[in-house]
Amino acid sequence: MSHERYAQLLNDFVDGRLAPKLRTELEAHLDQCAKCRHEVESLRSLLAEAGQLSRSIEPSGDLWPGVAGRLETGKRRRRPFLRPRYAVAAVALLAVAFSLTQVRTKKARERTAPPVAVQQTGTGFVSLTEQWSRAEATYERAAAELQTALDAVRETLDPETVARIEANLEIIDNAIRESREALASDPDNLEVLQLLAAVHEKKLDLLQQATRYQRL
Amino acid sequence: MESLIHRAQAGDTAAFERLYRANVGRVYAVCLRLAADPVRAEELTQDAFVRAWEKLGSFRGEAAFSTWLHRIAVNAFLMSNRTDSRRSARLQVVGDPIEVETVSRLPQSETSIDLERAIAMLPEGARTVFVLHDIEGYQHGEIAQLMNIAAGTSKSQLHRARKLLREALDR
Repeated sequence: MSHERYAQLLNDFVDGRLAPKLRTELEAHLDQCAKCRHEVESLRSLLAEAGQLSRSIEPSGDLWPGVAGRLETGKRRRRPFLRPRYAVAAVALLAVAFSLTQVRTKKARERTAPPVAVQQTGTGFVSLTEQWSRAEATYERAAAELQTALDAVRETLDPETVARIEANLEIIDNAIRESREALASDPDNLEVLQLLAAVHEKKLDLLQQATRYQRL
Repeated sequence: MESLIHRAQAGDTAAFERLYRANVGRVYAVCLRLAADPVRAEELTQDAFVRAWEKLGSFRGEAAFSTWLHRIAVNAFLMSNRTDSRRSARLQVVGDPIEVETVSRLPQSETSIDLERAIAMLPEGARTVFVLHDIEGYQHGEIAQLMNIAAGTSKSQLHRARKLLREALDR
């Protein structure tokens, strides 16, 4: 058997899955092959370390109230700690997204229509832009509130954690800026709108998570 | 424990809360390692306990309650993955900053932090199989059934995960 073939059997060897005859053959190869011996040692070391990882990690906050609420009402809620104002923004975004779909469908139907129809569609679009702006403003207010809460506890947090949070926020803010630019050049692009909404949600998730560190 | 389960099966939420308190760390740990996202792990943990409450009537004690609950949590992750796959694909466009943050929620022991970070950075399929097989002790047959893949695929994902981890850890 070639070295390459033996090398392919090393994972099964450390997992104890080789048939006795093949195992004996591979052990003989290991006596001769330093590279394969090193691979086996490396795999065993990895598995030993994985086996020592903690099996229990406490979440940062108490999740029981969210569970208990759902037991009582029987309702399925996707996000823990979602504040009502976020839900308002989410509903507004859905409304805008739905309206944009309607406009796009209407545009497709009216491609051959006279100029006056295009003008009507344009009038509707301005209204949608306003709706979107209002929805996005709600997200920004919520993010600003959470940012203030985070600033209030910033000095109590581990500097490494703060640096990590700030780096993540910078990535998200860049994504928001780029999504806005994309939306400005293609205002009725539903995919870009959904992406922008998702990035806003990601920012709120991160800020919510960060403000919970004070309870650790 | 048995009496708590019987009381919870009869609709006693206080008994169920005690079962929750006794098991939440274990459920959250597997959710966090599978999802590599603390916020999503909290959602999944809550989902798992709500599902467990709904299914308590079918728990007959063939396996330990913690094992039964653990399986529900893994299923909650896999189900949510299928549902959220389109949304996740969109979010990949902006990277996954939460993934970096995940490590800060994991135990900060000197020996495990590098491995935890490397696991969080694995591609999702490889990470799922590695967590289930090498950390949680599932067999390839069980993983294949849970993930709706062939056992051979589970094996090759595991080998890939180990290779990537060893590279990341420079071993």
